[in-house]
Order: sequence, then C-alpha cells, then structure tokens
Amino acid sequence: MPTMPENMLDIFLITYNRSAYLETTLQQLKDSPFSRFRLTILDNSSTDDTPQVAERFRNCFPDYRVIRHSINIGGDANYLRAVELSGSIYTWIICDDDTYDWSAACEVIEVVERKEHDLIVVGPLQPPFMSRGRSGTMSELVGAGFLPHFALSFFPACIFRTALFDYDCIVKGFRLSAERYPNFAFINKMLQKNAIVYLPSSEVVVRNDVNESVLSPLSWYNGWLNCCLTIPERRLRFATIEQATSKRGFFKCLGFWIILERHINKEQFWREIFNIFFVMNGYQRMRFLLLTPVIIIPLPLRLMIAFRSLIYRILGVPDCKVPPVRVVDRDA
Amino acid sequence: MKTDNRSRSLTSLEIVVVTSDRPSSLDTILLQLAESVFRNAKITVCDNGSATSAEAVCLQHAASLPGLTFMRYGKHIGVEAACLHAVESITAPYGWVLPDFFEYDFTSAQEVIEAIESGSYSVLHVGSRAAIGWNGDVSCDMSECIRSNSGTYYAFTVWPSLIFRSSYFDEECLVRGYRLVNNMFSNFAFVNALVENNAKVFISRCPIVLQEKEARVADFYSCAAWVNCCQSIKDRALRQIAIDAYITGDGVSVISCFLLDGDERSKKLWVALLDIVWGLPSPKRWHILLVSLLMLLRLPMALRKAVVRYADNA
Repeated sequence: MPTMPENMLDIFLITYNRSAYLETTLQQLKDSPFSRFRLTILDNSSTDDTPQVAERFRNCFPDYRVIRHSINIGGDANYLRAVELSGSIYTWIICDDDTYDWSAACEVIEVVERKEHDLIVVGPLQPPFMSRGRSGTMSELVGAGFLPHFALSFFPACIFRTALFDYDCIVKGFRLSAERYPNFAFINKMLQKNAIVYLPSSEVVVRNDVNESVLSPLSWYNGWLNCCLTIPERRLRFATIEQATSKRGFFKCLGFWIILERHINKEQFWREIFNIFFVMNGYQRMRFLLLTPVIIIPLPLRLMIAFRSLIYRILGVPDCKVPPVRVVDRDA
Repeated sequence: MKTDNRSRSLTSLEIVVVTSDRPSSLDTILLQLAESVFRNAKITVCDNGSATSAEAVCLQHAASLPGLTFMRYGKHIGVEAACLHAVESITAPYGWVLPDFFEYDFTSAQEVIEAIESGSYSVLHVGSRAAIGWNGDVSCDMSECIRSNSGTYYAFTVWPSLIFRSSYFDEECLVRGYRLVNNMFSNFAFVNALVENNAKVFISRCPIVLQEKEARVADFYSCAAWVNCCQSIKDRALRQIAIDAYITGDGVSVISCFLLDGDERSKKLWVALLDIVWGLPSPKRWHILLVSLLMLLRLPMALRKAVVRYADNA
C-alpha cells in the first residue's frame, strides 16, 4: 500500500521556556506548505506559558500533538527523544527560535514524496558559496568542498530518513551530547554510507545566531573538537576543525576565550588547553602555540573585556553583533 | 494485628524494569516480583526497543501483578539512557529502576518495605553490604557511609542498588545524567547530590541485588570515564578516595590497561589518558606520565607486559 504523503514526514519542534519564540515559529509553520504534516511539540517541561501557547495552535494543524516531559531532560536529550519518537519515513527536528523562508518548501516536499534521498539540507550550507538546487552523494559533495559536520550539526538544517538514525547513532548521540553535538554520529554515518543528499534551491531555515550559550566558549570549542575526533577520515577531520577555527574566525576569539576560561573554569582550564592541543594537527598546534602568552600569563578579565570592546568598536562592529560575555558555571 | 503484606497496596513505590531482548530474564524478574512483597507496587516494564516480544511476557504476568503496565521506547536508546528515561516516568514518592541484566532476590525485603513506608529515608541501598563495606546499623547518613569504605561511591552508582526518593532525582541530576551517558555512570550526578545534601540512607541487611549477569567491562576507557565522573565531586579528599577505589578496588590497573591497549596512535586513547592523568593524585599522575613516555617510545608488547608485571608487584 503506498504511503500517504502526510505520513511521509514527522516534524518535531523542541522547545524550552521560550514561549514568545515558539509562538512566532508556530505562526510561521501554520502558514507554510509543511502545515499538513504531523507536527509534535516536545516541551521540555517549560515553566513559562509554553503549554498555553502550544494549546492555542491545536486547531491550526491537521495532525498536531504536544508531548510535555515530566521533567526537563536538557536540549540534546530532547533532540534524541524526537528521533526516538519519529514514526514516519522522514524526520525534521526544528528548534523554537529560527526563522523560515518557504520559497523552496514545495520543492522540498516533492523530494520528500519521491523518497529517493537520505538527506535534504534545508539549512545554510558550508561553505556558503556552494551551488544549490541539485542532488549528489555525500562523497561527491564533500569532494566539491562541502563540509557536512558544521552545516548539519545545526539541528534544523536537515530532513533525514528516519531509519538511518539507528540505535548506534542514538547511543553515540547520547555519548556526544556531553559535548553538545548529539547528531555528530549520525553525520558520520551519512558519510560512511555515502548518503544521497539533496540541496534545495534556497535555504528554508534561517539560523538565529543571537542565542546565549550556557557553556563557556572554550568549553564549547573543546566539545566541538572532541566531536571532530569521531570523524574517521583524517583530512575531513582537520578540514572541519580548521573551518571552525580559522574560516569562522574562532581563532581570533580563542585568546579571549582562554582568558575568560581561566576566570570561570579554573579547575578544568589546563585539561581543556591540553585537550585542544591534543586534538589539533601539527599546523594547528603551531598556530595554537602563538597563544602561549595568554595561556601562561593570567590577565585581568575586566581589562580584557574593555580591550575587546575597544577592538570591536575600532572594527565598527555594531553592539548588537558583539557576542555577550556571561560568566557561567560550566555545568549550568 | 499483623498486616498481610501480600495483599497490602504499596503506593509509595514505583518499580521500573528496563528490558531489552532478554525475555527469559524479564520473565524471571516478573515471576520473582509476583511472589514478593512488591507484588502490589506499581510496576512498569520499559521495553528498550526489543526485537523480541517483551509485551507478551508482561501479558503472562498481568494477573499476578495488578499494578503492571507496559511501555515501549520508540527505539533502542542504550541502557544508561533507558534508565534515565525510566526515572522521568516515575510519579510515586520512591522509585526503583531494575535493569534486566541483574540477578535479584526479593524474598527478604520486609524491612525495605517498612523503610519505604516510614518515608524518612532519601535513599535505600539494597545491594550487597560488602560492596560498601558497611557493618553498622540500617540507618546512617551519606557522609558516614561514603567515608566508611572507599568503594562506596562506586557501589552507589549501580542502578538497581538504590531505591530513591523521586523528588531527589531532579532536573539537574537528569540533565547532567544524560551528559554522563558518555561516561557510563549516568546516575553519578544523583549520587553527588546525595553526598552534597548528606542524605539519610537506609542500608538493607539482606541484599536484593545479587549480581550483574554481564559485568561492566573494566577497561581503559571505563577507567577514564570513572575518573572523568569523579572530577564532578566537589570535595577533593572524597574525589581521590573515589578514584583510588575504582583503580585499585576493581582490580584494574590503569597502567596495565594503557600499556596493553596497544593502540598508541589513537587520539581518543590519548584524550582518555589526559582525563585519567588529570583526575589522579600527584604521585600516580607522575607515574602514569612516565609510563606514557615509555609508550611513546613504542616499546614492544612483551616489554610492556614486563613493565606491567613489575608495576603490579611494586
């Protein structure tokens, strides 16, 4: 019996305590061609008015359910719970705070209904200049310069064939959730399997980069590097590290992150520095060693924050684009 | 008047049996529960994506276990995550997670029932007293218990050994727990919370949890995982006790594991080594650094084994 198109795709929206963002996201989904597919809200036991907001949209979607966890299980576990609950051929897990451009929505739905592809990349591409509106195997795309880990680790960036996110990917996903990238194992599997990927003519999800991370930046970077260790192919591993470190400008921030880390995470400071050093390749290590003065000499944090603000001002970066500095507990 | 425990309902406790493709073990556990003082408790069987029919096994016991319910996770999510998932579903004041790969004896559990019903304990230890080296009274507090024997911390991370007050297993323990799935001791954050709050503990005289059918593999990575978990213990002295207990008490020599692993080109191995070195007290740290240096020299395996024998004897 042929599968009904509406049962082809399960959309999960994971949310926690951001009812205003959730409302905007649901409003966008309601008016989109995706509204006919099953939508599940996975509320991570929010304490704000998320349940009321979710309830208001009940009649706006033909197949709509709200699952509220009895207790907050964390964002990464919530992502993996969505994978666990999905029963359709394809799954799309979206967050509550991104914006959407539906120009390519009908094209994406057609691809879903054809069931020929393993992955449909609906998020921004890395590198951004890659041509869109085509399909290919993962190895072809990687050969053309596509770096899948950075692009696909953004949860809503891909619609995937549910069966491929199997036990192994889920278990490894839980293991990698300590490093905050629970879908890394799945991306690795897509590479090993040489998955068939479709790149629609334009991106559907526009990433919201204004989030404050609860992790200190160096811990987050360290987590990213640890996840990169799981990439089996050596060249791709270092290209992925390099992409974050150099191409995305993280190296420019590393000095400041190191100073910040020394102040907020004293116990783990040296461990993280050594870990970063270990994971890098020879060239990256040499460059990292340039930061030795800030690693060794304890510099006053307030002075460095003022210095950083001055640099941003000289570079003409508007205040709203300057990443906030928040002193946080690593395990918060 | 003597109360008949076989007919008394046990509303304070919820038991969750986590099962995955072990129908005969599940059958044995349910049979044992049906003949025990726990028969009237709410019992949920969580099927962790079994290919075999766990539901059929449950149906066979439905008549003898009135509070039995069945739920199935969408996919197999691994045992550590499954245990945490089980904790989420507990609504009774006390919860107990029983993975199906342990052997149990529920026959002498009357004192445990009484302790639960008294409501005065945060946690009840129902594993072996020898594992925690405790010879004292049934009632103590966590600091007393944890300092009495170096193996206590490790023994408390064995999931079925603890019947816990569900309110204690809060959001923080759960979120941190999911992050610790990586480190194989997903209830470590909970044990930390018990220690930090100096929780009141009941230590059963007769163990209910007998032994693990498939013992945890004590290898280099599990050693690194344990040391990694121990880094979250705030009390420095306690942290070192917990680390030492695993490295010596479990019969695992870090050095031998490392030397015999043989894959010195693996970056994962070196990162794990870094975790171990970081967590160890200073003398051991230098010892291991020295051994690592020897390893970097790519010693032949026979020579490494000789070094291990020497280190063990020393």
